[in-house]
Amino acid sequence: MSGQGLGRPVVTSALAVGRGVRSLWLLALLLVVWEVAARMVGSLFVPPVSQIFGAFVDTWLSASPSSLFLSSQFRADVLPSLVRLGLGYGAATVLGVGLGILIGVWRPAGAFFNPLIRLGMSVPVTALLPIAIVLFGITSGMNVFLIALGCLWPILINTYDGVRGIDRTVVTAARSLRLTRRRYFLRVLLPGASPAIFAGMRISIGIALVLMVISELYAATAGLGFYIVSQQRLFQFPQLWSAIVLLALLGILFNAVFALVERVLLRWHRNVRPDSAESH
Amino acid sequence: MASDVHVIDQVEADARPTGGPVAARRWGPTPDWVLGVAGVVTMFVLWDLVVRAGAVSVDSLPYPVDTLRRAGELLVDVTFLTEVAQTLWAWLLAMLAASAVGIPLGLTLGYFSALYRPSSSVVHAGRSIPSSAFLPIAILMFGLGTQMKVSLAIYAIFWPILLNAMYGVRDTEPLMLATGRSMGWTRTRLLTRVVLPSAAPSIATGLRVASSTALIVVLSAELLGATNGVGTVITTYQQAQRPDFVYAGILLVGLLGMGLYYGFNLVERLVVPWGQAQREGGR
Repeated sequence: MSGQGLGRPVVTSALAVGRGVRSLWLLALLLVVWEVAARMVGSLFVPPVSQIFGAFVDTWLSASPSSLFLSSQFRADVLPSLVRLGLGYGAATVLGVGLGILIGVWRPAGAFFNPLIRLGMSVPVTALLPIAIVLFGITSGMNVFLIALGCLWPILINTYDGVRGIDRTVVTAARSLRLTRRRYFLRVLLPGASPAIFAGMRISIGIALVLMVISELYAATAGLGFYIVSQQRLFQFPQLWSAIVLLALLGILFNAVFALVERVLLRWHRNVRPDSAESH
Repeated sequence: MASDVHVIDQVEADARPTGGPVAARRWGPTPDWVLGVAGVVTMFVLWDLVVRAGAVSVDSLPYPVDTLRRAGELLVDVTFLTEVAQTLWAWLLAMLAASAVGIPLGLTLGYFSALYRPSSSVVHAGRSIPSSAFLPIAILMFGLGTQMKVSLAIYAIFWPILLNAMYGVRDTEPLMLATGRSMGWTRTRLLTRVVLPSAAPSIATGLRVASSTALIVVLSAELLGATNGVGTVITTYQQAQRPDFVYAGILLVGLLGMGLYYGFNLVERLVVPWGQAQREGGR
């Protein structure tokens, strides 16, 4: 997308504004309805949007550029959550892609692990909360473990499907070219499976957010989930909702990053879709 | 790809990519189900060995034999089965309510392109919020009963159902629509003969995703405070320090999830058989 000529950026930005208005008016309208309804009903639990955004600015943002305009509350609760999310998600990606390729390539391994994987992915991860607490205690390890376990299955299954779904003719062609194992892996296997791997990773990021919050609601000493519970106990609902808004923004951000990475890395693949519906 | 050509003359012994026949086998390949059974048995043996070796204390990981025995006891325990029924009831209510609203709404929003873009930004904002974040609020607003579980689950599964219905309509083959129009079909006829059949597989996918999500959300709500359902049984046993029952409960919940998953696949295959190709491609 290189701007051609001088007049072009102006035109495109005007177009972008038009597109923004056309796609965001409904969201804005709903927020206005929420504001009016909340003011009329006067519910304690669901404060008007303006109050929530006020609380959002007060809680998560600060005026000092040295802390990137983020408040100390942000550092106290959001950073630990993000670290857990990153560790759990990272571990799940490494394990899931590795194992998925193994069982995809080596058929007996696939048959060997198949029933275990089916059972594993069917157990709702949250059911393991009590066990995770016993195994890890109330530590970040517990949250990381749950996030990793929950994210593992979609990545694993998708990697497996991706490897198995590589076009037979491509495999045969690679064989007749006598590609070395390494070259076959890097040039045929990984690229062939990557759209499916990315799909699994994208589903998992939504799961990771859900599990991060649930495990922190259940037991934690810091983090967004912990913040939500403590604000609930204090009956500070605008603050509680501000954390929910923050979670939504995180979700949107992660999705946008994913869409971008996919568009760059999988440019060659025709089935790239800007959004996938499989998420929690 | 010119750089790949020189590979030909550096042939190695193991140059063949994986997946080919390794050596002539005398007995033929082992059937898949044997390997699968072997996998399950191996897991139980490993589990037993880990506990026996004392790597993990029996308080946090019971013997597999005990777990299986407790699972058997739970299966004939009427109180346990009642709680399972409570969980499934909440699951069913959430599925019915979310699809009753989500599918027609999704079809409408997908059909009218003026509504598609603005509504998809609302959907993306809404589904970015993990439903679990609403748990503390939902408990205050709806109490600890079925209503709270159901409302949380509805929030969680409404978005995938809605979105898949929207996509389904959007992805209708334009050529088929044009053909229908050129044959002078009415709007209702186009809708029932072209749009709905082509959206059905996508709707089914949404429902399948929703089905497992709903179970997870209901269960989480039960673990985190609700007063009925399988989740509460598990927490009760945990507080009573009976890990054997906790693991047995989790095992049964896993089987329940598996049952729902395969049940859904079966129904899907029967109701929308033409979605097979899409399912294979889009998992």
